[in-house]
Amino acid sequence: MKLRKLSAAAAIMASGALVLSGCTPGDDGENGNGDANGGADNGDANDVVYGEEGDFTQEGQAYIGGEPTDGTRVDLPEDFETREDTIVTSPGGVPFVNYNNDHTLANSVNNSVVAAQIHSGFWYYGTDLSINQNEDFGSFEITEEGDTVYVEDEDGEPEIDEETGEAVVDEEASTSYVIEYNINDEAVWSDETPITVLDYKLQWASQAYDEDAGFEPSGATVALYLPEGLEAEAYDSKTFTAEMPAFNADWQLMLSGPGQPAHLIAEEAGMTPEELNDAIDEGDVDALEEVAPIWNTGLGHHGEWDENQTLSSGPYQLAEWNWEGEETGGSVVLEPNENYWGTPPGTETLIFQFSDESTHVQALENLDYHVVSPQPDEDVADALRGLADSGDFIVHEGDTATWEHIDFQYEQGPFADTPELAEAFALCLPRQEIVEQIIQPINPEAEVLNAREIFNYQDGYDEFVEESYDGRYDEADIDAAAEIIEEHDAEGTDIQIHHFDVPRRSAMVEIIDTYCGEEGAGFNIVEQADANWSPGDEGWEGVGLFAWAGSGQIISGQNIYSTEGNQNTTGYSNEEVDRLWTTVADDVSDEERTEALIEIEQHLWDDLHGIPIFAHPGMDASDASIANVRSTAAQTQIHWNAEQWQRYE
Amino acid sequence: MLKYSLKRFGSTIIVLFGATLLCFPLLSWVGDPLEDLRYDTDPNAEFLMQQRIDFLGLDDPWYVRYWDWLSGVLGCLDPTNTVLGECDFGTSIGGSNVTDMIVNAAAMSLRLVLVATLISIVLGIGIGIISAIRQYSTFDYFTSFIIFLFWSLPPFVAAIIGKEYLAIQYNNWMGDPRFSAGNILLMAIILAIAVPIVMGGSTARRVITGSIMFVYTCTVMPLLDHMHFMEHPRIGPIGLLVLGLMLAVGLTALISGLKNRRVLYVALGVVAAAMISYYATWELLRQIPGGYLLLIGLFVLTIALCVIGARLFGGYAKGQATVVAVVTGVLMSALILLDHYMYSWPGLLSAKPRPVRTIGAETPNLQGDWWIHSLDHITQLWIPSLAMALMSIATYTRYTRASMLEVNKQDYIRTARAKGVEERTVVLKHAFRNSLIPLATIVAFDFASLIGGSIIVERVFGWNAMGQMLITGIQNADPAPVMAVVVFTGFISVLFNFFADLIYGVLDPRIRVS
Repeated sequence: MKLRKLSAAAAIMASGALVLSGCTPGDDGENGNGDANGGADNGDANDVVYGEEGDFTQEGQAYIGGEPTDGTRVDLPEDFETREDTIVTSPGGVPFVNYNNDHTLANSVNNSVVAAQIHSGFWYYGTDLSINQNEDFGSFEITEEGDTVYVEDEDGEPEIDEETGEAVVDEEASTSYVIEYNINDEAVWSDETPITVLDYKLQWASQAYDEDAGFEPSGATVALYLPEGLEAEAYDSKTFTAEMPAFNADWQLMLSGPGQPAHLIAEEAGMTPEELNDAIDEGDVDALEEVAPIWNTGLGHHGEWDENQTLSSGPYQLAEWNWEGEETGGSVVLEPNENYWGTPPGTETLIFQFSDESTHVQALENLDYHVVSPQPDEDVADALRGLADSGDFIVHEGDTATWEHIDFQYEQGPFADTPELAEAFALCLPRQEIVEQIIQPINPEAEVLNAREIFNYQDGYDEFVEESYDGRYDEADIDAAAEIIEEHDAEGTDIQIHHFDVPRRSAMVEIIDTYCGEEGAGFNIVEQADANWSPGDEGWEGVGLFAWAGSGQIISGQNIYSTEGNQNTTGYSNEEVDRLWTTVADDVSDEERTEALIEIEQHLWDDLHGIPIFAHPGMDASDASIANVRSTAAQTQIHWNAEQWQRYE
Repeated sequence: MLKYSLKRFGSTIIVLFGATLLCFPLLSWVGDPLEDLRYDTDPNAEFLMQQRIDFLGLDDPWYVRYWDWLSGVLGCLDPTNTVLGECDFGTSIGGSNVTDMIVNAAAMSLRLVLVATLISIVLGIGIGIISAIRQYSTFDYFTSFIIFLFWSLPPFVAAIIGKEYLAIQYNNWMGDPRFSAGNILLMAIILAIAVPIVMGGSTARRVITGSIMFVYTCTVMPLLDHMHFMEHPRIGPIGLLVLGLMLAVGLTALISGLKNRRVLYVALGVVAAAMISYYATWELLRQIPGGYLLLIGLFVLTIALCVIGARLFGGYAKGQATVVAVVTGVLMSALILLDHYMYSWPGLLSAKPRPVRTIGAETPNLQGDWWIHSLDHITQLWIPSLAMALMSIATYTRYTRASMLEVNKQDYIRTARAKGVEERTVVLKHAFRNSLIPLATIVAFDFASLIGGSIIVERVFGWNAMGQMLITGIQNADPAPVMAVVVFTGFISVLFNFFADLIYGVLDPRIRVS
């Protein structure tokens, strides 16, 4: 009886359900709340060509507008349009922290990578470290050749300043060089205010008055090399000139993007652009003190921003800034800058998400990211090649501007006591073996680097090396090394190898040990792995194993190899080299400069300052359906031409 | 109780104070906050170094800096910001406001750890009890094997495997989610073997259960496939009603026995009320003003109504009726919520064709309403939570099993059995409840250690929570973020120990009495 009651209750509810089921809430019969197929489609696709393996192309990579033949940007077709699509990429874990990329706390590669998309400038680095003028933005050239006269010593050689290591300029006798800059008439900020000389003047002032007015710039080169500032007819001129009292071989690098919108900063500081202009011209520190905090962080930093203030001078502008803290994480969403006067960007939404490199391979496989640049090692290389085998992904293999080398310490230790031992160490150093075992698993094309001032992927490398180096250390020669060691009665001498405790370098030390150690030439190799070691530390002995990150500057080596150079930490000194650097830095023809560099290299080989080993391999990967992705040797990373990326399928 | 709580709160403050007093000087003696600048070749480095020295007050002794820091943090005890000043956890070396950082990071960590803890409590205790009841059965041996596997699996390996199969492969499959005949057959065979092992019983019963499972799977999966369930899932009113009835009957059978009609009617009443509110709240929930707050409000209201209803209509079985009503109500709410999420699933798929990303806590630039964003959070959350939960599941399972077996040998259990109490009551009321007491302590401890231990999972999944904050802070020798993490983790661990104490009281009447 009771059981029957129960089933009756159930039956009533069930029949109720039948009535109800006719009207499931939200069931409009056509699943109208979304299209599960997703994806955007956008009319005609551009024609693409597929790359072959080459110096500037990657096999299988698609290019819109023709296969690139040099390190410059791809020549996009006239009718190139923005495609309604999203591309997500990650430059690594460090987030974008400041709209002002010149601020000292924004001085990270990732900040520059994002900033490069919201700003454009006079020039950019090509994939082979070439410096290319950006004609969309404007042009610049030396209009007045000056003459740099150096103070001479008794022998008629240029006198070297003992503090800076640079040649002393005779200011009275020298005349200045004048560089003229022309900004494209159409160049405007995203609020349609023209980009003018005032923007550059503010950039100059931020360095010239940094401590006085409270600016916090990340560098000081503009104010250092252009002490007189910038000259223009009016504060809103598109043409301006800069006086360079002493020639600087890297003059092209001094000014690029306009940095911050000066008109907006002036407005925020409660002054007119004219007043800001006057304050800069007169060096009015009191007025500039008002401007400095706005220049530093006032227009958008640490995720606090206002779309009316983060103005763009480039193809993209900030659309969203998901801030998750300054260590890592978060993302930046970019949208096209409608007032950009040049070629429109390739993709409607470009997202930079900041996550650790170790997450990149799986993220690419899951298409969370479409372009990634993980830290290359053997496992990553294998995983990426495995992905590429499917044909859906492209691996971009190449070299970077970072080069591994050893330096001999001549101030103390075995090489200070017996400099001849450096020759023995150089002879037994198995450079070929190191490259084969350590680097070729990542980049099968890798080869030993035989120069310090030019990379093996740059034009003219072969000719350069032919003249500067005779191949004496190509093959490890244990017997010859052992002979020298015996001659100096130095069997079992401790040779410390210092490095920053990186697994790859420990593996290198192991290889060196089999050739130069007790089993080989007869040294006693002692590994000194310390994450806190720095070549600048006092008192280290033996050999330093580390890498220099090349910046594309011509005279950066002067700091390392000249007697008084800031980065000369091994006591190397050769007067001839010091003099030759002065020639390199001077206003000479490219041939003369190359000649001088070759001579420097010859000395560096003869004196055994150190030995280059290899250029660090770079490894990037991308979704094969995205065109125009190109890796680069410059620090701008694979994102250097992100505004040209576009899905073509 | 109030006095006890206040006493606990007071001691919490003292414990936290001690912890900070210990950590701050240790932190200020270890590491060099200027390290990166010392090796900087920038001519500006001197200036920057001085800037940072002034900023961090490095010229002052540690106790002066500690006091500066403490006076800011003490402001957090004063919600009005008048007596003790503003709540301020200081500023990091990079110039970020640490108060914002910790709020952000804590929200992420808590989300991750809460879900991981929930998963591990439910799975761990459930598996633990069944393997204790079926000691030395195939199920027991099999779960022991799996559990030890989980235990020995490093979290980052689990995370990477999870990404490969639960994200990448799943997303690939979701591109065209079809069950092939092979899939269906495999699934049917697995279920036909697994379900009888869990259910137990005689050989004949196992064969019958297995066959039913096999036939059931072979019918339902093609049906779901035909309905495109993976792209357009719905429970719908019929599903809800059927599941509701099953819940009502099942829970009643489990807790009071089907003979207790009062309880059964209350449970059925709850199901009926849930069906009505399913329709009544549909539009409200689609608009969802207030987001999670509305959900929590409705949830609390549901529990309150269930309790009131059970008290009114429960009669002689008030106690059991309340339990059954509340559990039914909670599970029905969960089902209704699930139906809402399912309704938004196609929307998520169109905004995010590969629904599970391997990176980050949310998808940047996702277009959609609250439900789509919430679904996005869930899809991003569940793999890292699972990876973190694995080890806790293992722990909880082993503890529950051991504790359950221990309790089962007690005299009072034997007495209960001898008196002829039903096996169901013996297990649920006497054995299970008492075996939970040691577990409460472990869960409380585990919660705090999960927060600290989440760093690896955070890194693998590109989350930016407290583990990350702690590690970067230590690397930079940056006191403010590290101290913020110490204070927060300390607070959470003390808080959860407090909860554990409260739960002891509920579980063990002897503690309540004293």
